[in-house]
Amino acid sequence: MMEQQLDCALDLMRRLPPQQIERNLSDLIDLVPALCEELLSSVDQPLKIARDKNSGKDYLLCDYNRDGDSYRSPWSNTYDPPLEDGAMPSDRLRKLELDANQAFDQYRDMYFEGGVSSVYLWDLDHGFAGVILIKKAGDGSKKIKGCWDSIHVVEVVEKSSGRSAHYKLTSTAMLWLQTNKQGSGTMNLGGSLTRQMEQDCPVSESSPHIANIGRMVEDMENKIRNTLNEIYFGKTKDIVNGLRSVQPIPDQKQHDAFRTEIANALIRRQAKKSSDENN
Amino acid sequence: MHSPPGEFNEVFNDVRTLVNNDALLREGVARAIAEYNKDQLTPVRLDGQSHYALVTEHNDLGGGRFVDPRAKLTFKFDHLRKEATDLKPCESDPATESWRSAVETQLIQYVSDHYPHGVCAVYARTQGSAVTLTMCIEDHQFQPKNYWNGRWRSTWTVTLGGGSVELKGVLKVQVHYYEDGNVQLVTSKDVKGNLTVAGEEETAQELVHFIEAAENEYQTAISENYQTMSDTTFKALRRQLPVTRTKIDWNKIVSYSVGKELKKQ
Repeated sequence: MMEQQLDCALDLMRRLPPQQIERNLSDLIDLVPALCEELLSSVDQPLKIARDKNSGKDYLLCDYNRDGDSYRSPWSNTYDPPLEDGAMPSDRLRKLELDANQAFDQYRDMYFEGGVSSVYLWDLDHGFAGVILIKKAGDGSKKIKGCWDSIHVVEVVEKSSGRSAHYKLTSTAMLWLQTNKQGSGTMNLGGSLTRQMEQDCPVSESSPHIANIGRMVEDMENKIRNTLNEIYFGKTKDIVNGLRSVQPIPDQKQHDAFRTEIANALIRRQAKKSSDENN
Repeated sequence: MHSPPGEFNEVFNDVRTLVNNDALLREGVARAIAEYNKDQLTPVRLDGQSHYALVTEHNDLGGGRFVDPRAKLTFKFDHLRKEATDLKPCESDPATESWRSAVETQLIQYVSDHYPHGVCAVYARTQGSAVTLTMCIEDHQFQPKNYWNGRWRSTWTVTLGGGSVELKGVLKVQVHYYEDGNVQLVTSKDVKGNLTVAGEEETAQELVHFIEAAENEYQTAISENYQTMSDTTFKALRRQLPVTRTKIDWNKIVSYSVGKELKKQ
């Protein structure tokens, strides 16, 4: 029964307006409290930002850096509010995590020119896993508000030779845009896409884990960005224009009929010409 | 209330499994379903009629019954099955019918010209000696096999009187596309305008012309705004490529990070 309920809950989250993810999620948890943990870990929510008091730098919150009600900062590697015994990455992994945060900080700067990014890693038996988070909000100018959130979860299984690894990436991007203009009233476009990819990569000094993961994340985000552009700005617009036609439909039909007639006339003339030439 | 158009049943079944208590559900949900259907301007077939009627708050007679002035019928509406039953003839209101049907004739023509599968209705009521007309237009496309649904709703009201009167409209569009994701467009616009009331024919034409112009403007503005969002806002959130116009050289990034670390020591 629980599994059925979880399926229904997830189906519901996919249908309710994505612009209200948080409210939908909390209403859902109120409805079926037993599903709370499962829902929190399987439904992507817009990322929240916290400030690291030690370094003054911002970091992003998610289930992967949460322990109870505390969150771990990737900069100072401490929990806020402080925890006696919070889950921590191993020393080796912490070093990699620091490097990864620096690397993706640059990635963020080059593609997003602003925003906040955070990387959290955790140990696995045969490798490690991690999440790369990015959040960028529009500046609210030109009467347009917007926000981009990406969540990339990567699983790395190191081969016993140590010279290659298998990477599995699951990426979700959440985007919402809202405008308030005279002509189009209030327009609210929101949503999320999830994609997956996996591949093997060599691991060496010239091709370290961070570079391999970085390339996969970059390709994936570029792909998702383009898909969002086509879906958001293509398909939904087409659907709107399928519901109503600015040009009167009888005119449109007449126009189409006329065009077909001309096309047919041209085809006939072309056929006649070639048969004349052959004779 | 937030179900995307055409997906109410799916949402309802999801909620049903989650609540797991049909009696409780029936109670709490019956009113929500009715509210939802009316808010959505739900079209419904009437036995023996070639046009669709609408279920809205403006033609709600109470007790689950609604009126369709065009067919001169009242009907009971099953909100769960979305069916009309128990059709009963009704009289038109002589105080309002000539205005109502004049506007209706113009509106029907307008809707067939601009909406591929549109449904419309004109409802009239009197407030004292003034006649208030409410015009509703609905068009939807449900294609769950292609993972999308969409609905257009417009509601216009005018209270007739001598001289110049105010026409108010609320236009709403909702689209849901959910193939491998969840994308929704929710948009609405409030419109106001003025109209000079003359004879019935003339006024009805002027009214519908105003509606046509306003709805065209709205639809055109939506398309233009899509372009702006794509060109400006989206780009301001995430570029297609860095300023260098090439993808990132990850080796350089990683060695730069290591370099930074070494410098700190």
